[in-house]
Amino acid sequence: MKYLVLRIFQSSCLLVGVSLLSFIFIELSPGDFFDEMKLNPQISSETLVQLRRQYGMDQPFAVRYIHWLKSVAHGELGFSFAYNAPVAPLLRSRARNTLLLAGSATLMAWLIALPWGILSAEKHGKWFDSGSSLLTSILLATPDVLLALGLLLFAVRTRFLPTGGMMSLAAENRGRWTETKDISIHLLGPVIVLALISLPTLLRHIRAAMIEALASPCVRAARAHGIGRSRILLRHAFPVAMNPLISLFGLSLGSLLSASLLIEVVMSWPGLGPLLLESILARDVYVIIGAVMFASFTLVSGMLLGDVLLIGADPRIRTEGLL
Amino acid sequence: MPDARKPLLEVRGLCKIHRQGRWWERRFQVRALHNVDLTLDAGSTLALVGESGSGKTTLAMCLMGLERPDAGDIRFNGESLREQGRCERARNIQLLFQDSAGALNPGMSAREIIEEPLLILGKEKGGPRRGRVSKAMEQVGLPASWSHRRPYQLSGGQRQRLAIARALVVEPRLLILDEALAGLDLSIQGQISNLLLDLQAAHGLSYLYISHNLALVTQFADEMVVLHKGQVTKRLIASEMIVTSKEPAALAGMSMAARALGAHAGTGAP
Amino acid sequence: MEASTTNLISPNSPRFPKRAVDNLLQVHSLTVEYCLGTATFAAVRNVSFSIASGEIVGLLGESGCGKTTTALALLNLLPDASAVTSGSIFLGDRDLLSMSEDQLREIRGTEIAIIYQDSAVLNPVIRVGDQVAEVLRAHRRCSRKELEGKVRDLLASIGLSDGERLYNAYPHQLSGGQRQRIAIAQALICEPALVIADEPTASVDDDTAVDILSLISRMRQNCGTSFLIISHDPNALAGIASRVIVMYAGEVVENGPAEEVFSNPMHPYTRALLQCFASKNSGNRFGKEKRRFPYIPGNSPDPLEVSLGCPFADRCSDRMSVCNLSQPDLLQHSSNRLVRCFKYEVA
Repeated sequence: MKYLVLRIFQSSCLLVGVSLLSFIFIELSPGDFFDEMKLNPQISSETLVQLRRQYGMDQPFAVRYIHWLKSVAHGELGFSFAYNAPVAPLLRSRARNTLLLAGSATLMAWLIALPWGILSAEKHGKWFDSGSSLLTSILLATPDVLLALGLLLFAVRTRFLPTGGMMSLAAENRGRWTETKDISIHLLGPVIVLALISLPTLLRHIRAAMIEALASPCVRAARAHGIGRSRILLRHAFPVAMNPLISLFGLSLGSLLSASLLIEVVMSWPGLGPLLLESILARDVYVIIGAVMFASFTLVSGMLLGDVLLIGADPRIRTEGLL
Repeated sequence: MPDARKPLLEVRGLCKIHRQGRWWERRFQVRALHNVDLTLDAGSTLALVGESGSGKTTLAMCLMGLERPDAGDIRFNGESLREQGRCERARNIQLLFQDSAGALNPGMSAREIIEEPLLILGKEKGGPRRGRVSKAMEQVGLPASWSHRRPYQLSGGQRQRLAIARALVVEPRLLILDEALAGLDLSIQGQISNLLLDLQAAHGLSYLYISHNLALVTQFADEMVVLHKGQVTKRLIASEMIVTSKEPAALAGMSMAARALGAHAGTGAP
Repeated sequence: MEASTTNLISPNSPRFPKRAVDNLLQVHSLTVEYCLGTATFAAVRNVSFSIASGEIVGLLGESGCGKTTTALALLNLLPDASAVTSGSIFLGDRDLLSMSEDQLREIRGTEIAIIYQDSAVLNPVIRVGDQVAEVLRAHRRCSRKELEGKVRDLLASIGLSDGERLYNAYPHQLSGGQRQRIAIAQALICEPALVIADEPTASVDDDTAVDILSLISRMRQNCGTSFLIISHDPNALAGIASRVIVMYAGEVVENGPAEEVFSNPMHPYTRALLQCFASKNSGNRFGKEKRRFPYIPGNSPDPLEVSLGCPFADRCSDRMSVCNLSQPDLLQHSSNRLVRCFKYEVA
């Protein structure tokens, strides 16, 4: 319990650090939102100065940071210049979509990788294992964008999958079930791409952990006692291999989020990706920071989740001292 | 020459408590050593005997500086060990582990392993250093042609010899053997024991022999100290050492075989 | 050179008297080869022996002589790089070498069980009681309650008191001796006819070793279980094994009743080995004089180099000229002793 409190405290400190760092980076980068307006001859420089003062952009860095923190405390996460609204509501729906995408992709990736990895480890050295190895190497070498474009091509040619967006017009406001089905089919494309992106790494780790577990003395002894092959695999070897995999699971959620931003842009999924892109191009600072904080928060939560699961899974961490 | 009147190693009132759990928790404290006194004279062997968990390894760790005792004083040749630097201590005291395979770097060749302590202590240049390495290998009976072999290419007994060579190359005064002969074949145990006896006779080495195997140490040691739960319970000198242990069937058989063999064997050394 | 005396009969000859006692396990001319890159060598060569029910047999020899390989071959647990190339293993009247993996799986644990030398044989993330129950569950159909009951009974009978707490403990919470007992419990839970114990006393202290050996002795008395105790240390076999098989360089060099072999060893290797053992246990140290330890000079033969003569010839104190030229056969000498040495072949 104490361990958990300590970890939450550490994570909060981490998040504060990330926000500070993001602020500093944006501060260091040249230009701001209003620079675009400089190009417009109709807007005078006095107007710009006035606008800047209005939005508090002329105040020193520390003051602006504290204002932002206060805004976070109010649940607003700053103010977007482009949309002329607080950041939080903007992020909410987009973040929800991104989480849906990343979460589903994580689930799919692990559901495929686990049995595949376990089987590869069991058939270590045989054709199944070598074939999988080759396949994952090809996947690893393929750039993410290429995979996304490849899927779009497939969608266009075969019309099995929609080519973008989250929902088709036809399904809007047609009732829960239709809407869910519709969203799911739109979700499928990006999820497949994201799963394919993360699959090679997961597969390699799972396979390596299982091979090591299968070679351990306790599994050898289990075999010597006449315990069946499948039971050894699932009940004896896999729990031993799970340790590093649980930590990997915690991390994979966070890293999948970063990959999803790019895929969302390419496949027109209305998540944080497109929003972040346009905010960066427009120098809409508070939206950028808000999106970055969200990503960090997910990453940190993922790691925390991994730690909690690890406590549950490995008795050596859980219990202290001898009987 | 070591001072014959002063003991080489003096331990007074050594205490060590092992704490488990977080630093603010007082729950899990185990008394590993409590008020341990012992003395070791130069050129002699002291056996430290006790069951597993009695604190023998902890004592070795304290002597080596790998763990800091909570109380008590350790004096080596009259000087307090705490005041001596790490290098100074390493030059005087070396440690041999039971698991030789684990104690040797699997990525280094035999020559590199023996050379490493010299490199760390920064003692000599290339030529004389190589000479010392060769001498050490010769002393333990490892052929020079094996300089390039890795630990996994050597048998258990050969690895233990390599570990001994590594310990000897810095010319220590005291060698701590922590179950160093356990698990080896009997013949290899005999060979290495003879090697250790020869080295003691030739160089005046002192040994602190830690073991839970009474039968082996009685042949080897000048004095014996028994540890139980971190405290010294018995001290014996050579002539008092008798193999005493429980007497169930197995040991009865052991002494039976030995008694029967005694009539047949003769002097015992081939 | 042919044996010409009548009391030297090869075990392969039809005149070899069959044992009166029920033969539980019979190993005949077993050869196991290892593949190391391009080279192959025989780790076990032409090994024959048998174990009767209720008998404790000791397999004695130095590390690398093939004792563990022999034991693993019995249950087809050999590592991938090795295989049985000739010989036969019979459990009762069943040929173990011709069995399929499924059939062998049935036998492992229920009829022949093995206690590994490795101390890490317990799974660190499964409770200790459940691990013992796993073995029972793999072979018998019992309800969960029955499983638990049987495990607790067994744990109590092998001296693990406080079975309640111990059942739910994890391996890292137990001491080394307790872990060893759990490994033994796993082997005994299905009440096998033969238990192979690989170096049971190697890495434990004397008192625990004595306890383990007493346990083995008790199991034999109460349940009639046979044991094959593999050890490099005669200490583990003296007083408990009824018969001793001595192996060197992959071959059986001596085979006979334990008392006789220990009191009157015939093969030079056995004699040299027992001399190393005897000096350790001679009791008192008189005065400060430290006697030197006996040892067997020379090194174990490299398995990759096949010698023409007897593999022990280089280290043998009784070496004769013929010993370097050809290899002796395992022949019977007196009523129940077998020895492989030219010394005893002279009429």
